[in-house]
Amino acid sequence: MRWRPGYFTILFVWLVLAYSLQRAQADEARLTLKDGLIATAAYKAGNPELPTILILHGFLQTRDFHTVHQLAESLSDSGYTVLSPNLSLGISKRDKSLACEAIHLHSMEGDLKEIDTWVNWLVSKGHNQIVLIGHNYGSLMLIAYLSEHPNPAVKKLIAVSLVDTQVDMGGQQWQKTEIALQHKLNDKDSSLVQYPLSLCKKYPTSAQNYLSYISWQRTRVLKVLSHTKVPTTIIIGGGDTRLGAGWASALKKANPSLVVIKGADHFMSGKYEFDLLDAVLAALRSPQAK
Amino acid sequence: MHFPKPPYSIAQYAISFSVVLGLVLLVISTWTLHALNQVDQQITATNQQAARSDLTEAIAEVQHKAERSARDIASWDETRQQLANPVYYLYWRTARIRESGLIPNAIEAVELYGVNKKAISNPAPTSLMPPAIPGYAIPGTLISNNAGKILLYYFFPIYADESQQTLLGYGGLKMNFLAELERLHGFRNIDLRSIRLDIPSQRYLNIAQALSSIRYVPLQNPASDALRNIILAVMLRFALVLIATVSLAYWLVIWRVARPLQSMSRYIDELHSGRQTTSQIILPGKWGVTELEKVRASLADYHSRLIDAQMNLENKNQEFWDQAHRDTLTGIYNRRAFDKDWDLLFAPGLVKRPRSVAFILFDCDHFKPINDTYGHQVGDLVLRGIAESLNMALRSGDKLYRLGGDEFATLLYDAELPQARLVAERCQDLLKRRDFTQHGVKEPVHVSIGIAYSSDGDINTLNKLHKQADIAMYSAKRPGRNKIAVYSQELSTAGMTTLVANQETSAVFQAIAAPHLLEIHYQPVVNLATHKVDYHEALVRIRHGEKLIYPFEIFPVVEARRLEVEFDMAVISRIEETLTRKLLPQGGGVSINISGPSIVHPDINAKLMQLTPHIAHYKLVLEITETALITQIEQATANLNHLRQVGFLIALDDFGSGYSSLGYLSSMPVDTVKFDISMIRQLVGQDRQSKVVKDMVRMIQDAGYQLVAEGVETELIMEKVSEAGFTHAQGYWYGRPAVLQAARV
Repeated sequence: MRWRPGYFTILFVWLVLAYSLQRAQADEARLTLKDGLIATAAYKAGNPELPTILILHGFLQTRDFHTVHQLAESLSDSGYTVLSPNLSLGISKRDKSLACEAIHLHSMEGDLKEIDTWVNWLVSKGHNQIVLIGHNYGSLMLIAYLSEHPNPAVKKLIAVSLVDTQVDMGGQQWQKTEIALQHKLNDKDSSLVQYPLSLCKKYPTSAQNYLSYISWQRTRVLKVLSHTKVPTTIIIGGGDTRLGAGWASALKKANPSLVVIKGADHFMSGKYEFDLLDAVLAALRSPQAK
Repeated sequence: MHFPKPPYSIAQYAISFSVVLGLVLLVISTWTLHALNQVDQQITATNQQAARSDLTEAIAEVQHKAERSARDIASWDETRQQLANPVYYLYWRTARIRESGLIPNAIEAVELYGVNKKAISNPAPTSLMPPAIPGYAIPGTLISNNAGKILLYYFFPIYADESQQTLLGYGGLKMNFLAELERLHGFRNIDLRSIRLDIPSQRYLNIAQALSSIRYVPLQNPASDALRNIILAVMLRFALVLIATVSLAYWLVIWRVARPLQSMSRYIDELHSGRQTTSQIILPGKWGVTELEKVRASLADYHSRLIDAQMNLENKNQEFWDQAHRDTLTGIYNRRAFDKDWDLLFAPGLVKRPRSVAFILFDCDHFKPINDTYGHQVGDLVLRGIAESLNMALRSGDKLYRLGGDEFATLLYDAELPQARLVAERCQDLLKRRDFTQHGVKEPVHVSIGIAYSSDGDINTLNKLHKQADIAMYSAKRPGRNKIAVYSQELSTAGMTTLVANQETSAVFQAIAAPHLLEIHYQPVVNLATHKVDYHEALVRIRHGEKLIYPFEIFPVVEARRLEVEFDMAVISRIEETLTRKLLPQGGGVSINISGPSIVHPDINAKLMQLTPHIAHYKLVLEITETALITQIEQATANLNHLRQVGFLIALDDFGSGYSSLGYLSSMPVDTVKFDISMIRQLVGQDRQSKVVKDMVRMIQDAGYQLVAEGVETELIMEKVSEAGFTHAQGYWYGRPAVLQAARV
């Protein structure tokens, strides 16, 4: 006998789908920055009882980067209010990752101000229990943010796959480059320079902007990390090959709250997404967060 | 006058067929070329349309590509970044956008414009991008001509977001139009190298406007060109093959059909014209056509049969000719053969006319008495003997003709007169030697020979030969003459011409037709016992105009023309008229000369019987010659007896001038004997001849006959005649012949 759905069944399915869509739809928050650029963020309201999460993407990426996106979705599903901004990186309404080779008009300072803007936006929205979650360079930026723009609403930092600013140059060459960059900076020479930055082998930007990122190398990061007052949980993958040698131990030393997900790579992809979520949720539920 | 149109020859038909075929080929070729041209025009129009579609499609593709690139550029964050902060715009324009891979290489330049449509930075001079967007609708495609290089520009708006609420500025990109057309579109209908933009340099046109200014040359459809070339080649080959085939067919028809037929036709014409006389058909070469060879074989067979038939016919003809041209009695050529051979002499087409001709005419002397005496069978034997003798005497190749009765002739070509005379003498000699006694003929058989000769070959002269030979022959026939006479002018003037002269002949014929032309002269016959005219002898003359023709001219013609019966009939009619009108003296009489043929002729007898009513009033005497009596003596005797019974008296005329003998006389039914003047003259002498004549007179008188002496011209003769015992006398001494009114009674 063939099954034929009844009216109630159809109505039920429709309601479930409509709810799901409602749940899935996130509001895009927009902020007009001081330079006129418009920055956007995905904002999904959650349980007001739970901390509000601002999750920041990695270097030149967007909130749609799968590690960030998946984590944001999972946290949202877990009832958290999640704000996933796209750093404008000098591009209004940027919604795509920015190529290394693109002209980079942004600087660490600008990025931190934009993060601060979003944090303040959350605060303006009544969110005063804010947990910052970063991935990759986003973790570094959040650490820097907390260092440069302390905000009492920020209650916790979860730094996933935290990296420092790396320059793929030898010591002498770097010294020469740094000197040259300083000269440019001193000379207010805004011409483009192209040097390696982090994963980018070629990174066109001004000397000032370049130096703003370069200043956040391992030593400074570890130092800031060790002095930060915001409870910080660092989650790294046990199989993350992007991390520099001794980075994990250095982090452990700077901040004993280090969670290593065994076997996970830098992007926590695959089954490690769940491990990451578990680790994040665990960190969120930790006493420091309250 | 309408002549039927001659039929055409095979060659003419073949040529006509070739011409018609050529015309048909020309028409078909012209029609095909016309059709090809029409197809070409249609293909050209289709090509034009296809080329335009090709171009339109290509432009659409280029536009589409430009639009796609424009969308990519417009939606690129870094584009918006540049519009927001173009501090590194030059780098972005020249390097970044290239290395980003966002735009294809076909886009030669990209430029960003502010909302005011002015470039956010001065365009690079080499980019050929306009410093400001030309005033056309945006987005829009523009075309410009830059020194022959066609450039496509695409200008598009750039918004801050996808909702296109906030216009950030504009973008523009440039493409090498032709290169991109070539790259994107495989042109099948346009020669890409021919595309050019027919607008001034540095001027921008909307693509819709520019489309009409784009010039191009449509590619010829290689398939249609190839098809056309193939069709033309096929047509050319077909025409060549057709021409070759027609030429071959023409050659075959001419060589294998027309030529043999012409040969046959010529041959048949030659057969028809008689030029082809060989018994075997001669048609050269091998014809190589079975049917024609059969025709040739049939023609040869037919010709062979025809030749056989012709030979048979010729043999028959020869027989017929012989029958027609040979004298059945003697076997020599007859009168018809003579006439033909004679006419040949005057034939205009005669190739070789003989330089001289001798005409020899033979006439048997006294053949009629012989014939009458010994009978026709003997006469025929005599004629055969004469013919054989004459034929033997002739030269080889000379022909002997029997012209009729006892008259023979021969023509000696290219012979001199002495030679002709020699032939004539040989004829006489051979004839003399011939023994006719074997046939019972006791009298010698002679022929009189007349020779006429022409040595100038002139037709007029030849034409007179027969007449001249006639004259000569009559001359030879005259008593006391040599039996061979050659014509001369003297003979002509001596009156011999009357024998054959047209004037006399004409007069004789006219007199027969109209007896009143006969003028009867009467000469008295005197009774020597009473010295009174007993009766008159009617002597005939013919009045021919002013001329009076006498018997010596009349009778040769009459005898030569065998007109004795007709002439005697006319004379009797004339005398009957005299008797009826009683113009003769009462108690007198008339003596009428009757020829030999007339005596035995029933018409004459009947005519004479009409005179019997006059016997009561006049003495009617019929004078006949002894030669006349000898001819058919039995019939003559019977007729004369009958006439005597009804009252006519019969007188034997010219007694003593021929072969008459007393033996004949006794058997003849005559009452009177008229001695010839030659015998009368002999009375004058004292010789034996005179005595013989006197004895003969006495003897005849004793036998109871009346005797008339002719030619009594003198008193001496009159006395001699009287002494001799003649009962009657006649001659100038008693009276000349005269017309009736002048006759002495």
